[in-house]
Amino acid sequence: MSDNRLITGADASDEDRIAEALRALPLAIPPASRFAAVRAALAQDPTPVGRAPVDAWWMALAAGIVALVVWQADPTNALHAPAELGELASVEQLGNRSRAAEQRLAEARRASRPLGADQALLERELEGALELIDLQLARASAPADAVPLWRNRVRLLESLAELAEAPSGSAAFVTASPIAAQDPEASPDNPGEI
Amino acid sequence: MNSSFAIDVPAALLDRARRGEAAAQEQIYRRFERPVYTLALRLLGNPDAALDVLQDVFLAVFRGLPGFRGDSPFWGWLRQIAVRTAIAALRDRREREAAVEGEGLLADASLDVLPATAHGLLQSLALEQALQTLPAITRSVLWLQLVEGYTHVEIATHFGQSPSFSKSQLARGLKQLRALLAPEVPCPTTA
Repeated sequence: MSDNRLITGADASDEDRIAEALRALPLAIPPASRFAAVRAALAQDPTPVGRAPVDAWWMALAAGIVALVVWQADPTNALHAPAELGELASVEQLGNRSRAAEQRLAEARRASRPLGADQALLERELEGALELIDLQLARASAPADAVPLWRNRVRLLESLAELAEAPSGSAAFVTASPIAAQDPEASPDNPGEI
Repeated sequence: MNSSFAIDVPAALLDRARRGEAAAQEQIYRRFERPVYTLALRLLGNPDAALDVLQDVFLAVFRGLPGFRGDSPFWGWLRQIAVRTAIAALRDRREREAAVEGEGLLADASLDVLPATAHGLLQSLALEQALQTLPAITRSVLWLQLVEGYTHVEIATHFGQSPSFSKSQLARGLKQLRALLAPEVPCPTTA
């Protein structure tokens, strides 16, 4: 952290004292458990919880990151999102499809084999994008917000599964990036402000 | 620097949670609920909002668990989700303007309600209260930098700002805390 220090000498010592005092504060205790609500939301799947509209800033960031990860691809081996995905219009249908994709991904990873460097990089980016979508889903309150997010979640999971199943070193699939194919409805109309 | 998030979780427990086993998910929830809630409370300064963040974080964690490969510590992954969620909540609450321009709060802030005791619980309470008087963004940067050990670049990325934003917020927060806590955190004298 020394490279972050703003002040030196006596003030630096003072900063250390304040930091130490802050770290010594006891952890706060939640006044109520929210685990039951979390489980209920998971069980209802995929009824999202939260209050805010879709935050497109993160989506744009994710798209930007993955767009950078474009490398030579073998079109014969390219990933194509299943055609019928766009036809799934309910959160329940998409949730089922998402669970199937998760299971496929888990099975592919159980039969794990080493990833090439490019594949590992892509996998990291996809996981980052998935994390962002999950965050958005947790905050999406209306089905109109949630459905396109769920479609993108399915695409990402299926892409991850495809990647896990691909031969090591294959750079196959980035052409049909699931982010590039992301549901336009998931795009933000409310860009982040910070 | 030891983060309160730095809790090891056995791989077997993660596997069970990944499969959706409620008991395993609850164990993970219980291990991390206080660090997550504390972080959210420090950033948002509001218990109700912090509870909402707590719920959102674990929902995102359990939904995202199948995508977590375990290449890095689970707690670090969870903490990233917590920080992002709390900052997103800050943004949603549109506290930014009020927070950054919140110096007015300082004029009203007073530690007179607490005796200027330099030790123990009262000192903690005074510090907690002083912390709460800081603008939310300033407090968040201060907490992430000094307590969670985030770099200015990392903080700037989370807020979509430049590192100088993080540095100036930290400097501002330190200055204000020093002013508020002057009796409790005396400046060292130089010979």
